[in-house]
Amino acid sequence: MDNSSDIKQIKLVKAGDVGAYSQLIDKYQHMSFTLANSIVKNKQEAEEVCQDAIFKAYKALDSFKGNADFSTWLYRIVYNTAISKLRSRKTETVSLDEQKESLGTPFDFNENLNRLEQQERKIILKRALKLLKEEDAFIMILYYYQERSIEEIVTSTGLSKSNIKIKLHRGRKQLKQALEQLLSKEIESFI
Amino acid sequence: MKKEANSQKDTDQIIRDIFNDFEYEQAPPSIKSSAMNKVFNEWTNNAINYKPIINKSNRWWILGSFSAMLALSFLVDASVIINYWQNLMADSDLVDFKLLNQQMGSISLAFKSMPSVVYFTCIGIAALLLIDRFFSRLANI
Repeated sequence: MDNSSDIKQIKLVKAGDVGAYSQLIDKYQHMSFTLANSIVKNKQEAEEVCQDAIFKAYKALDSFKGNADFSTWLYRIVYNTAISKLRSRKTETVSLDEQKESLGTPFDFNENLNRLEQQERKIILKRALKLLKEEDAFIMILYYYQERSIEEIVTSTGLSKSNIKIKLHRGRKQLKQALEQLLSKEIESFI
Repeated sequence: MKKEANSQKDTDQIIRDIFNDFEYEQAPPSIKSSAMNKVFNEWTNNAINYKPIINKSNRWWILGSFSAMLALSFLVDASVIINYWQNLMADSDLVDFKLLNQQMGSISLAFKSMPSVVYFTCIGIAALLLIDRFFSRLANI
């Protein structure tokens, strides 16, 4: 389904066919949940964020003009809701710098990554993303997984273009670090 | 500088590759059900404002087109109206009925000379437009 079919669904919802909204939920709930979880890093809270964001999107549907994709617009609501949730609680973040000290001798990152099975790589990536700063993880997923352009990420977050570039740069570095740490632990456990 | 740029490119490629294995997380089914519950509550709580099928602005053009159609159907045989006026034997100094009769007669002759298919086509198009508008309005209720 492309954006034009989303717009058709939205028109139906606006015309009073509320049931049509469930199709939009079906389409975007998983990605919204993933993005919400990348920020709040807690499945239960991500679920709440996702529900709130989907409901907020419904209420604000009249303000959706179709200039951007519906998904981009929805992810912005998810982002804002997740950030609000985050602000409402104190987070315990794991400092990568602290973990860096515990790193052992440098090792061949690529080689070790290739040793892992696909399933293991999936798990390691998810764990590494959890170690990233909230906004960075959100942006990395949109950029690398959803293959969104920087302009689209700007629309989805409301951050400036240069800010996104900085966060992407930092995210890349931190993700690599996190992957290295997790991989070294994984290799150690094998030995 | 060049070395750093290369290293950045490498990191970018590694991350791109590893993201090929990435899969989004499955949202719990409660998200959809709870969100839809909220949506339905919101929908039912809102006052339902029915838009009249024929609103004020539409009322005039529908009335106008209806009178035009009525006039058109009468003009098929305008002599009926002329006869009607003659039968009435209207006696007024203010209105020159003779002139009116002549004009009406000439208009009716002009209309009479048109093939009947033109009338049917016009009426058909107007009816289709009306029906289309009526159903689109019904769909939006």
